Amino acid sequence: MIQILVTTHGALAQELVKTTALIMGDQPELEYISLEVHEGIEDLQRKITAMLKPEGCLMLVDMFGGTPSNVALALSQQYPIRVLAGANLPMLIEALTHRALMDIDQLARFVEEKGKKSIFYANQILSNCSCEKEKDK
Amino acid sequence: MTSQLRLVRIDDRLIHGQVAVGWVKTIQSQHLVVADDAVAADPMQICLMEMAAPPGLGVTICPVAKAGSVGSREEVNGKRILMLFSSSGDVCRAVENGLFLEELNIGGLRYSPGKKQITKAVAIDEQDAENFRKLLGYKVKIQIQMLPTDEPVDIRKYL
Repeated sequence: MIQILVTTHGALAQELVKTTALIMGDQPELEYISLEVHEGIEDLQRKITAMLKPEGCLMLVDMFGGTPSNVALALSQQYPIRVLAGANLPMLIEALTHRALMDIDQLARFVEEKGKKSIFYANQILSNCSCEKEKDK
Repeated sequence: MTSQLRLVRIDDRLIHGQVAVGWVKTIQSQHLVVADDAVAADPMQICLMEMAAPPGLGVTICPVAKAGSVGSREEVNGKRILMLFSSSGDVCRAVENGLFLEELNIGGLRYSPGKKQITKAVAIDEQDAENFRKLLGYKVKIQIQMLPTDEPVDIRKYL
């Protein structure tokens, strides 16, 4: 099974995983790592490598260019890691829902695409709905 | 052709994440039915329910009394249905108006003063208990189960 590892600055990773469990129940091979304020690059490298599974790991990190993203990318030269930056709740749900159906490269591309499509200016969607159109009449 | 009622659920949030993500996939539902008088009478609520449904799934919103006849509508023909109610009283009313029900899932009933919290996501009052006893009398199997991955719990444990 493809491991999913959420890695962020602070407690965001933990809360993303906890919130996902609220929606989908507890999931196997889903872990989180937080980069705490007092920690450096070596700490994060150590935490990540201690947790990696040999079957491959999809890492969801909070922000491209941030330390979790940079460290994960550097480690991906050595380990079977795929890194997706800009993690959000829909991406994590999609990754968990589809990881058994794809290989790790397909999964990374799929979740990237789903993540991009998960952002909406919600008022605008509502304004296209019939209830709002009727109001204008 | 007939439609199949795969899951009937009480959830006071109606269509939301747990339903759209977990249950729809688990029971391979193709169509959602929301049987709720307040939603059916409010165009804004109808929009929100339609937007909350997963892409590709149809949504039918009807008053509670029409829940029993919704299976004969064209848009649900041949589909695997997930039907949602927001209260135990509504389910009773639907059954009394002709909805044939074998099993009922209790997903979420939030706490308010006067209710007893019986599980993490379910709080019931004496009226709920009365409604569930009535449904048990109609031979409905009633189980509390918030998520597909949770262990179902028989309601009789709490009545």
